[in-house]
Amino acid sequence: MNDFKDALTRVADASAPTPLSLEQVRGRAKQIRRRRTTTAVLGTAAAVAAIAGLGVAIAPSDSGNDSVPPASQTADATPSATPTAQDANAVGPVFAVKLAVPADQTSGAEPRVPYWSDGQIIDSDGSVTPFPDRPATFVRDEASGDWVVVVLDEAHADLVRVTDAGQRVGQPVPTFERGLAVGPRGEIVTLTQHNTRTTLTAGDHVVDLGTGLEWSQIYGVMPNGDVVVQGADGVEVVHLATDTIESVPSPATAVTSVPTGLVAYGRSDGTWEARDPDGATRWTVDWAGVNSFSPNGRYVALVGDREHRIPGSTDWDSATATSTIWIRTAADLLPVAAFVAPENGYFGSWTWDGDELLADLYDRGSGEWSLVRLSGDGFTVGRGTAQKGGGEQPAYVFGTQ
Amino acid sequence: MADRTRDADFAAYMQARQPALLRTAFLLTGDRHIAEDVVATALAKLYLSWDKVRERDSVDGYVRRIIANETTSLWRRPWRRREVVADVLPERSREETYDDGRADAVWRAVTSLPTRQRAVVVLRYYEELSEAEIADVLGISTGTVKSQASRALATLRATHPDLASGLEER
Repeated sequence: MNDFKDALTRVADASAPTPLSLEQVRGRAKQIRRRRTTTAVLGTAAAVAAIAGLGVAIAPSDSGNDSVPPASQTADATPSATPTAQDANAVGPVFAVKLAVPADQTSGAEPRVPYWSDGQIIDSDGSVTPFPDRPATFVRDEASGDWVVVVLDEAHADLVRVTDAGQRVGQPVPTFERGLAVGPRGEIVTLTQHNTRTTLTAGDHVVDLGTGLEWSQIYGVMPNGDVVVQGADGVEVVHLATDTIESVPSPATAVTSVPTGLVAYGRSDGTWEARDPDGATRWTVDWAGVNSFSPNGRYVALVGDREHRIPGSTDWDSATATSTIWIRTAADLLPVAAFVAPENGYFGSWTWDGDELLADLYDRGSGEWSLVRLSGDGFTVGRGTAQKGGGEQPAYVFGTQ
Repeated sequence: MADRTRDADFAAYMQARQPALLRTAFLLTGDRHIAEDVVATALAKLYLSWDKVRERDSVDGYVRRIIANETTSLWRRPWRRREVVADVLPERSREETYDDGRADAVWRAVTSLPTRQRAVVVLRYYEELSEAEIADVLGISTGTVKSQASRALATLRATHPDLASGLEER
């Protein structure tokens, strides 16, 4: 037994949770059976209501206000109080997002960026490419016109090429879940693996990252094309001009702004520091996580409010969800707007669409994902964008930016 | 008669495996009361499915999956409950008499990891499961198991180099 297991064994032994009796287990089983029956009945009732076109929202009895507001209800875009008391710097509008579409609204949150949904990749011009498998991410290769897609299976991630018609081109290439990015000139940047050797490719430029790198990812690309990646011991910058790799001391993760070269480094204690290209500190933040910079470099999205943070970590209690998204200026972190999901929902994925964020918002009551456009002016819920789906995986997957 | 035999079989399984399941649940949740609750739910679900599950090869695997799912669900509940993260560790309970220094340091290091990384570490180094088994229990890909383990070990190496020295990336 190794020391580590030995230590955990002693901890677990000392904790000594009380063993349960068969009667206690039977009692819990009865509760579960009752709950399942209730849920099934409500589910059937909801289905009948939907078939009958009654538009009745039915939620499980223990779900409080989980019902979906009717589509005719007017969206409340009135700024409310600040989202967290810990956010001492929070000023500016805070919008409590409600999943309501005004009756006279005909458009608003529909994507103007490429996205995947329901077995299709839809480009920003509306053209459709059949792609049945849910991708991790994807991007249009401007050089060939193909889609380059990262797909996941049980064991690993693959990079595949697909024509506009949905035909796969060539063989899948092993990659990482976040092994795809776009360079400053639109070039495709990939991390691929062959026989344990990892290779970074940026356009025509190929850099050997060596062998034995079990896991990696692309954190972002710099204005000069340099790539920030996960190396064996942490965050590294791959300098393409010199084919050298520079290790960045201490950060656990990073987010880059392609047009400005600003890089936000996240440390394992949960603090973030944004540095200019010359290395000078631009700003720091410790009450939320840095998620992404807008493609035009003007704004930054912060997510993972303090309530849901894992203490002393850059992660929060769900890797795929947040209840609050802040848009702030990238240069100095001045507030633009903050958006708080409904009590019974959360944002599951989001991407930049110009100066605005397009977010996929899950509603537990209806079990639906809906697109919501977030900007300094408020929010707009997309008419007809609601899609059924489990709460784990957003219905919309957005392309790499 | 059939029910009595069924319950006897289930009770025998409970008696044999419950202590180990409770220990694992405690390491995953870090709280003995929550661990008891999670194991109670897992065993209750197993009880409801006992006829189907006991025919399979791994009842333990089935229960571990439920425990892992329940633990993950607990972490999702704050979206509804709005719990506030405490900046200070709670006072240690009377049961925590294991501390010879090292065990306490290991435990604090493990509890500082994000939920999924912690689950991977516990299942890998305490339960000694393979990557494929961990992926199955947590319902994630082996690639994610690798990435989470890699991140966890990097954190442990950085914060507790002496503790992580014996932990190899496999």
